[in-house]
Amino acid sequence: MEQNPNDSLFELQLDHVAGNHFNESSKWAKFLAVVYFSMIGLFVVALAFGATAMIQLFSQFAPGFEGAGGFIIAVIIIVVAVFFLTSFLLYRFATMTKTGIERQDQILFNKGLQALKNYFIVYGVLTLLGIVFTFFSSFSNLIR
Amino acid sequence: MQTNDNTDNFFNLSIDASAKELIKTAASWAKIIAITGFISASLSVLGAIFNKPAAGSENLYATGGGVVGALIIGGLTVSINIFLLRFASHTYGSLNTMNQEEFNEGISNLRVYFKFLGILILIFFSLFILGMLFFILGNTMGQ
Repeated sequence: MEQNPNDSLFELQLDHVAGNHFNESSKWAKFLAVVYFSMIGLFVVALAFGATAMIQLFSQFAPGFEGAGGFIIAVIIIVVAVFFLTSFLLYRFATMTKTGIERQDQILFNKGLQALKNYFIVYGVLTLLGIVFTFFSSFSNLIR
Repeated sequence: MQTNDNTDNFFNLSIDASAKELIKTAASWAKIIAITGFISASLSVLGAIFNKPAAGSENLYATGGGVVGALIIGGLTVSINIFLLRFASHTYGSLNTMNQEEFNEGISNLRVYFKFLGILILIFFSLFILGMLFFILGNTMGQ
């Protein structure tokens, strides 16, 4: 569909104020993403070296845990992958939005916004799952 | 020379139809995250308050500490999510009313949200490193 240049007259603009806010948001989002990546890296290293010891430790408290060890590790890998995806989307938002503003590239800027949208969707689904667990744990505390 | 920063299109970028849809979806999910954050914080605090302690004063102290901890974490969660909710409502509203100032206000709240999270992480890491240092020092002095 061809876009009429006059359409921008009726659009919100990324003015100086909004541009600066987006730039600062990108800066902090990038910092957060880098911290999350580092945490994931450290966790993966700890898991690689200590997985066997961890399973042995748990098996002392819950006999028969050795059999479920593989399942637990699979769950941990899925959680780490989801956490990595969230961090990656945050990093993508940070870099693309900032570069889009610097280069005055509307497509790149929109890609950054798309990453922000996807970040909030993934994070939203995770918080919805989290609240279900919080609800059940609080409920079990209340009836205990 | 007087310039009007609020209206000058300093950047040649705009919130076109595509960007508008993306921001609307992001704002809707941000609202869901903020509301679930408020509910989660309330549930955690309620859970800590009504957590029945077993007999013994040590457990009472532990419960008191748990309530204080839950209140601190809950307070921080609510504070962070207020900015996220403001981002969601201001940005979503501005896209419907085409109000530039409201849009800027919404993006400003997104900025504060990320900044708040970043500063919190910095504080937690500093406390963690400090704790580790004291732990190592204590172990070294004890030997």
